[in-house]
Amino acid sequence: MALDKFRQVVENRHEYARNWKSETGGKVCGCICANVPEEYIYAGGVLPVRILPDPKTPQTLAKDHIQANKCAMCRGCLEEGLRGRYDYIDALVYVQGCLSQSLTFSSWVMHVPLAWNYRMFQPFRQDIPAARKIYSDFLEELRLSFEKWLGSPISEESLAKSVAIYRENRQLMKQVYELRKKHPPLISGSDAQRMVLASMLMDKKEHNDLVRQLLKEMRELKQPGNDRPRVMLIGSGIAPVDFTELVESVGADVVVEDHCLGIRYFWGDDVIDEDPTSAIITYYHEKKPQCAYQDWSGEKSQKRVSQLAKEYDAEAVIWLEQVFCGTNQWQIPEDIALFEQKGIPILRMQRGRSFPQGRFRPQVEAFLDKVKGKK
Amino acid sequence: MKQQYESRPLESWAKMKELRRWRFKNNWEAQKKGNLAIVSEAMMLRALWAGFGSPYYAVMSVSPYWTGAKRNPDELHRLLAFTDSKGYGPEVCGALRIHLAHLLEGKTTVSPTGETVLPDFGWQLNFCPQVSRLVYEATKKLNIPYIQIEPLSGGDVEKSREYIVAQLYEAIEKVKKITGREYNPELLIEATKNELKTLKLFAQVCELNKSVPAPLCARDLISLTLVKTVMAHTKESVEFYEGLLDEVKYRAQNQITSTGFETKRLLMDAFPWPFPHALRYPETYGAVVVCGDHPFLDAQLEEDENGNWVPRIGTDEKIKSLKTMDDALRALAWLWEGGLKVNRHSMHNWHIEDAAEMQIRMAEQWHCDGLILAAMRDCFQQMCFGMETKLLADAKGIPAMLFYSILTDLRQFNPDTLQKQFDTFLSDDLGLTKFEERKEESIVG
Repeated sequence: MALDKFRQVVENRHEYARNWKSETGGKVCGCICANVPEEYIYAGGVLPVRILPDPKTPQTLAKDHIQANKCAMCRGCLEEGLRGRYDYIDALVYVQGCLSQSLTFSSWVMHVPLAWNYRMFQPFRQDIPAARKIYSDFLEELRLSFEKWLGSPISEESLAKSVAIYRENRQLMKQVYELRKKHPPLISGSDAQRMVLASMLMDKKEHNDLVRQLLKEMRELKQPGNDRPRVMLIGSGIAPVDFTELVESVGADVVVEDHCLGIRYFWGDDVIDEDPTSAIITYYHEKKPQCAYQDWSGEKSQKRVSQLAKEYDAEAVIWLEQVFCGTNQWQIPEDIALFEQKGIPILRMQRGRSFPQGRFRPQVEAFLDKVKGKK
Repeated sequence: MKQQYESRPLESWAKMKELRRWRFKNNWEAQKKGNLAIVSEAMMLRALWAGFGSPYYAVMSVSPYWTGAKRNPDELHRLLAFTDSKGYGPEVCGALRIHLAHLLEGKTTVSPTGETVLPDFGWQLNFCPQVSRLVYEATKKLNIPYIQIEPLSGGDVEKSREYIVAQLYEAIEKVKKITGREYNPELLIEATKNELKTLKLFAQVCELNKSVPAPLCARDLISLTLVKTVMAHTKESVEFYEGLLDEVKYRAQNQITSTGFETKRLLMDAFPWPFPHALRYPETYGAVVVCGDHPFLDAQLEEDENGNWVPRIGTDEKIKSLKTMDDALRALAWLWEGGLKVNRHSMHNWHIEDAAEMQIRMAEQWHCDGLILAAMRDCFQQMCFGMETKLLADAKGIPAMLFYSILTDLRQFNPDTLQKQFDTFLSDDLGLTKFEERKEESIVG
């Protein structure tokens, strides 16, 4: 089953990358934040691997480098690096998202040896031609630096192939998400999120094969109807698979999620561009959903969550905020007002590195009781 | 305790207060005089708007009454509780929550005499997403246009400059449409020259604090930065900083200080804003804060090729070469580009690995004996590199402490704890003894 493989990769991500490395003889590049144009890295025969924290690991080493008032995502990622859990990565790339993740990158390159590292800045404005121009200039600099490290240029053919594989990956995952629109959804929220997480960790070609297999399995599935409330999850940093499992175990279906490790990783690749470089620029600079730090006015994110709630027929929303994510805290009151206006109940919760079930479960239960009572 | 050095209040202080009062009054009168009224925070690239008729336009804060609120614990508490009730969490910048409360209460546009001024537009240089969001919220609530300039926090300097220049042209065109005003390049050029001069003069003042003893303390510097923050592009600002520079030169030459003591010299990068006395607290041990992130706010200081901190190289040439509107806009972009390497705020310089080393070099060149570094719970943009700076200082054997604090929310902050941390650092790490006659003095003043 494809889902078993996704779970296996997510749970044994380091083993997967090490095996890939020994089998292919290739290099591995860590990616901080979802903005890294992985297509370049993949085209160079290097495996891009998203750096992720382990919520179960206490952040005892990172606390000497990143202060306690930074989010658990940035400290957690650094903790993994300092503990040597990513000792197989040869390189590290960060493309500007929020400043906290930049701290992860800074402290990592200061204290963990790497063959190559690169920090790319980017404009967050998408409304002026000058922004696209400077984005493409900075992207070119990233490419040149990467090629210098590789020791050879990336051919246009390899890049085109890589862009096509990535586009297919996004489209395949979007197809899976389409099946979550069904009543009931044909895949649980936690399984769907594991599929997305696995995509950040695996060879994309292999992932594509698995998603195709998953789609086949899902289409053959006969899902009996249920009256479980359909919940949309909004969040920021740490992948809340554990939280999604909790919500689902209490008796709801998580039908879609808008957070950094969910749709913001792969949504929006819907413009066909023949030129691979231009396709990368269009996707990462113009189409890919921005995080709250980039979309600081919240205009685009509010439109997106409003649209998602409608498309996925969400009956309730849970806003799971990350402690010390200040930009999101500006947006939450507006999202609460938005959904209250639409008559969709919304619950606001806050998590740190991990989340204690004993505190979260009763809150979710009470909220879902209210939602069910309303149905 | 016998004084080590002569101490004397600054003669420029009265002028600084006068200019700040004038500026506050002008904010409510500028529009009536036919000048622009703009709502913005931590104003930068100020010369840009002078081209629309006058350098004496209004720069309205979202919270015109912020300073008063900050000084009144009860009012501060009320305003923070008000934003709590609206759903804004504790990680929303404490300083901006005061602004937000005043915005939601409708105080942004109301003068102390009850008159209302509706700004023509809001504008913000996006150096911090929270500040940008605040001004954006203000423009939404006031139903006025919002204009942004997005600087980049790194990358190729030339290209970043071109990006800013393109946006400056775009902003001018937008305001022409919004206001129906013409743009006068001559006024822009004049204002840009003033802005360049002001920022260099302030950098020279900061540089003079390398003198032993320091002619100014950090508390002086914090107040002195404010004139340039709101009116660096005016001739009055240039005249003020010229006078200040002369005075500080004289003080440095004649060993005149603000405090009379200098048992140790310190770098302090930030402090909890309701308690500016924290900057002075080391003086109860005879130690003086002589440099740091906040005291040198927006100063055009940079490191030369040998790693020496100096006033921005090339400023005078830049002033001389200003002939056209394009020259002026490029000079403004150049000023900001300085932010990448000049201003060590991590909000401007995301290369923490460089910023930590730069801060240590600053401490060394200002002859500091120790570093007091801050981590603010509700400010995720600044003071981000404190931990790495501390590690570097530890490795070099320079005494350093790092304290956790907040910008404004006194419900989350215990000044007694901070005082104990300061006491431990000053006595145990720096070997100082608190002056007998100031024994009872606390960190809150």
